[in-house]
Amino acid sequence: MRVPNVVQTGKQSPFFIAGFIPTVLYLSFIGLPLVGLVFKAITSKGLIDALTGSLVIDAMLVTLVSSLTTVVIIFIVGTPLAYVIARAQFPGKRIVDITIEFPLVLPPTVAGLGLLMVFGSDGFIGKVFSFFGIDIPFTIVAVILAQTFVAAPFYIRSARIGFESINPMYEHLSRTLGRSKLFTFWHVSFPLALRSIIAGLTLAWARAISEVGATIVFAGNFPGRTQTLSLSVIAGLEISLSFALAVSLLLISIAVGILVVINIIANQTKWRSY
Amino acid sequence: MSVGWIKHSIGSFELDYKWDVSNGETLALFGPSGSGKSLTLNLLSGFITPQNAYFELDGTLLVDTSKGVYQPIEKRDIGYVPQEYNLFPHLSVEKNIEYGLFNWTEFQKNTRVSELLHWLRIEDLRFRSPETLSAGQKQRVAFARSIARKPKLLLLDEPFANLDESLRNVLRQKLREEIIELSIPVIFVSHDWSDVEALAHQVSVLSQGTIVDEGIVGKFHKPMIEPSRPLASENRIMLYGNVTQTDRDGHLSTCSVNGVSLVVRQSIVNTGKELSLIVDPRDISLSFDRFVNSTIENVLEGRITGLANLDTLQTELTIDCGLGTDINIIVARQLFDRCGVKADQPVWVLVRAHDIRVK
Repeated sequence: MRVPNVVQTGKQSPFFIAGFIPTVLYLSFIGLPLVGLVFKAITSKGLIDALTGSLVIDAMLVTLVSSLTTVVIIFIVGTPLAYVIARAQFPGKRIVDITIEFPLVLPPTVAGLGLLMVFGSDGFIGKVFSFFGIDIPFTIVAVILAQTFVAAPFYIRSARIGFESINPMYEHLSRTLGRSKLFTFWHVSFPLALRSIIAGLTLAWARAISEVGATIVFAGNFPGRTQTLSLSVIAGLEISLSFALAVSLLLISIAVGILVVINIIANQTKWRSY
Repeated sequence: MSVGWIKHSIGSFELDYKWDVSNGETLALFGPSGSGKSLTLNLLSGFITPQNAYFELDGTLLVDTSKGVYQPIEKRDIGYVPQEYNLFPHLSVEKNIEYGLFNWTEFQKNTRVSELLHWLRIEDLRFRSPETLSAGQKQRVAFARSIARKPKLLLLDEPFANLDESLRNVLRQKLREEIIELSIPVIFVSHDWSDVEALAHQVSVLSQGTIVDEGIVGKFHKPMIEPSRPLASENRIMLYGNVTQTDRDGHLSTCSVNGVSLVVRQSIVNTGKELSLIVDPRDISLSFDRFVNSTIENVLEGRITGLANLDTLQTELTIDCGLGTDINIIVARQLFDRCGVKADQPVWVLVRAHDIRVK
């Protein structure tokens, strides 16, 4: 193939250089704090002690239990919701759309306060529960509710795009072949949107793990009860820097793991969109 | 067999279609793109819900909007092959074909799939993934999937549109054999007249949502409404008359327009029915001597009532042949001079039956 001469000269255009400098600056801005943090954490003395200490182990448990429960709730409630939004036309759909995505722009601390107003002992749902002697705020249930509130839009958005990208003819054909709407959903729509669904769940899970603002207002920061790994970084700063660094190292590892998973899914041809 | 009608509008587009297909018979919907062919199939299969419709299949009422009857798609027993074939991409060829075979045992499913693969000569594709198939292979798998459950009606949307010419001829022949073997009514859509000739018994010609022509293929001339040649609406001649006689087998009817008989190529059952007839002046020929013994169905004697030279090349004749409306025809000046035509001279107007559009 003939290559145009312009490319062979090796000279880059001023336009390219103008884009290159901000790229380097930005990558340094993102990368240097991470590198600095990891370096500092690895070289600090109490790393192993901090990671094996009961505080971290407790926080790890709270994080896993709450975030995985959150992901399950989001999947069960969000999947039919995303499908309906993708396929159905109804009056007020625009308002439903905006409401679903609202948590993406709402400051998490405000979300936490809102949850407290509803589920707190004076809130109209909280009142009902406290009548039966159940208190939601400052428990692991509150952690899960806070995480669900902030993380759900990530999943719903991704799953919805997945469903929207399926040619409705596949679903129609399934029904001409005698299959019900429900069967069609599980055997055609769901598998064809699987990549978007898994990507959305992973994103929502990452958001749940990193959640701080809504949780601290609604669930507090109590070790062994509501303190997740992300919250323990805040608490850790008051104990010792090396503790905070150790937890951060753990969270960075999880984040890297999630990014790797998302990229594997994105390149997985078996699950590509149809 | 299947009978029914559909009236459905989308914006300013109005579809008005009726059909009557027997078992083992193939009906083609022919027309240019945008004429409402695919919409009709989508309405029949239930992909789009019709506004007004009546639809009967094998004696079972599927849709009657006036009575609120609307059978869900999965209860209709209709096989459908869409234009893009749409094989389920996450399932193998085998799983695609047996997708509709629930309540069948594994053995029955296996036997049916083998039978279809063998019949369509695609046994080697059984465990392949749809994305590895060629267009022709996909068409056959989609066909196998649509008939695996032995549907009562088969719908095919542009079955050959995605195939190259040589493959098209082979598969037309194959599909024809398959349709004969199925002995269920088949309705298919095409914009290609050679598909209609190869596969159909009956044809409905659609233009802008309405049937402009219909009949038996073979006895049927290629319809006058060609995608490439729309009727010049500003010049067309509109005539109004009543049906006086119908010859159902020959698909001819006689209409009386202002007492003058005109033969049209369409069988119209109810005698006495009022009709609008449309003729494109470009389809009219003139003879200045008495015209007898020809294959042209309509020969009307008339008189030239007006002559006007439009320019150096064209002359416009105004002719009265007793239809109640004068006919204006533009003739090349050269021909006109050669015939030595004068005003008030007798003239014979020649129109073939299939050039008269019935509305």
